[in-house]
Amino acid sequence: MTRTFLIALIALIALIVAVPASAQDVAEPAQDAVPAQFLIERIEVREAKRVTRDVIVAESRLREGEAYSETELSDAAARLSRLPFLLSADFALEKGSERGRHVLVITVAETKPFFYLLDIRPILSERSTEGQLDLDFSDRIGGDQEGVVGARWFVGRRGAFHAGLFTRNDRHEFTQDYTAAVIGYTQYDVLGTRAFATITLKRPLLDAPVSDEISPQLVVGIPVSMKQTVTLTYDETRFEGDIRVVEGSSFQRTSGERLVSARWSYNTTNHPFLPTRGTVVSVTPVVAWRDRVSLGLVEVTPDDRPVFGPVSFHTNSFGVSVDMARYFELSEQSSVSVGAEAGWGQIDERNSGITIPTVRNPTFAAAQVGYSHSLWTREQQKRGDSRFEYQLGYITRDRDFEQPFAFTLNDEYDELQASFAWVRRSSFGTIRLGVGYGW
Amino acid sequence: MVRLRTVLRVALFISFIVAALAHGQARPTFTVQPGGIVAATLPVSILNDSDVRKQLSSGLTTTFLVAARNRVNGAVSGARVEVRYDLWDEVWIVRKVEFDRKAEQQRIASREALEKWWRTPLRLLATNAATVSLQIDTTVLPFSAAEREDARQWMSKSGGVGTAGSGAGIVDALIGATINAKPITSYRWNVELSLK
Repeated sequence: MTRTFLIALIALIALIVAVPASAQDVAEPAQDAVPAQFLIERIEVREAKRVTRDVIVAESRLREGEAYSETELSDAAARLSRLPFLLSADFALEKGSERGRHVLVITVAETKPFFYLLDIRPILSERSTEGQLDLDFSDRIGGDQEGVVGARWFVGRRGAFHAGLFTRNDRHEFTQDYTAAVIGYTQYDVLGTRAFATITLKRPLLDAPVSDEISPQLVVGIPVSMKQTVTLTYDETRFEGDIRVVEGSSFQRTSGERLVSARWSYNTTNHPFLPTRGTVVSVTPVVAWRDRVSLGLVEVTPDDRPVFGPVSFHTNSFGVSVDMARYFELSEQSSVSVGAEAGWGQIDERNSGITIPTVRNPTFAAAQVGYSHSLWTREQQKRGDSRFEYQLGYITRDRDFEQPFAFTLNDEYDELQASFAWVRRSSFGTIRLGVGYGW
Repeated sequence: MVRLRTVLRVALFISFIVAALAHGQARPTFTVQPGGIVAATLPVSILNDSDVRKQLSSGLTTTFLVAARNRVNGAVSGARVEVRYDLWDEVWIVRKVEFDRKAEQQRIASREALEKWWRTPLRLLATNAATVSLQIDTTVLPFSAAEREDARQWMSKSGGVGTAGSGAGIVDALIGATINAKPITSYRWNVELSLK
């Protein structure tokens, strides 16, 4: 009953989100007697101190020498406003070299080179009385990142270095959450395609076995249209565990994981972390491989005495998640949102011990509504924001365990969650502090 | 009796002036046209606001959404004005869509002519009531309303908000209230109108 209700709710939200989104793609300003098209012969970027002109132009996805409608220019402005290193981007036209040609002037306000992004919003639930403290399932502030502290330096015409600390919590059953020190480089407008590529080297520090090894991550963003992007990720993480001593023998515990994902997203929102209008829809298939060497049961003697030894575990996983949300501005300070998420996975676990192989099929689905109110006026919001957020959500998780020749377990829970948070955005970064309760 | 009425009128006029000065901004004026149509003339000071002037000179469209909400029954109607300065032809291309979806587009040669056109009453709603209490919200947005027009069409088709005929104005007004681009500025006035 609950699942049926949730599926119906998600389908309804999908309809709300998807229909206008597709309409925006195909519709034309039919009532405009003369739809304006502007031939942009040159793009000028003003008031940029750190970020380079080429990066701004590449991320706008506009090209000099082409004609654009106001809707396309508006989309480009919205896209620039979603960049984490810009606070605002204003568009204006000036006369070009000859009649009918224009210079597009983009005036930007930048963030500081040092930045932070913290989302601390624990959900206290009835299950937490059993010692479990759940973090909010919905994390629009930065994808699967709960915290980032670092700095960014633009180099050359189209490059940027970054360094810092980040925490990952992607809600997948089959990946490891961890905090790592990272250093990386992003190349914008790769081969003139408006695509970007980021290579990051990281070393896990907290929440996971600490590693001395450096592991790589490669992210490539490919523009499909003004509003659509495909993001390909290859992410390898090597963890190095501790040494366990059992009955005089020592065992080194190690683990590592490799993730490959392709995320398609449609985004018309106005802000990278605190959207108040627009639509975002994404579909993300993920393939993951995990290997772990640990201490495990390798044998049981005839007199029923367990024998422990090094055991290797190998897990092949596949999952897909869908995320959609729509934001409506009610006034210059208030907005409402409606959103839904769903995910499915298959985890196939094999190991060298005597434990029976396990196949799991975790699923999750969530729907939520939200209201946010800024304490700042529109004029003040040009320099950042300070707002309260209220969210009400419904989440269900289901984890089936199938063990051949043994038994099938089912771990399922449904929960209503209400949360409240204060969000502060400035030229240095964004912080969200809040708390919620689930029942 | 006549003297008392005159005194009251003068007092009402003075209070109106004082209220206007207290708010530091000019107010729209209203006229009633045949058929109970309420039309508003927006103050020219809106065009002279520094942020609005900057957008008007950008060569891109500036959209003015005017929503009229009946403070008694909550009914919403409105109109939309779009203004763009063509840099090469050096003319103002203006377009307005009134509460009944009647649209008009013109090319205006000078700023003075633009201000004159701006003073043309904008038809906001039709009513049979003898008096009407309205909240007028005017929101100034960058870029044209084409995208919002798409959303309006979707909302009309979905049956959720907009319907044909008299509902069309409501949809336009709702667009102004819910699907705003980042506004440049906005204005709000409360007015009591006697239509008889």
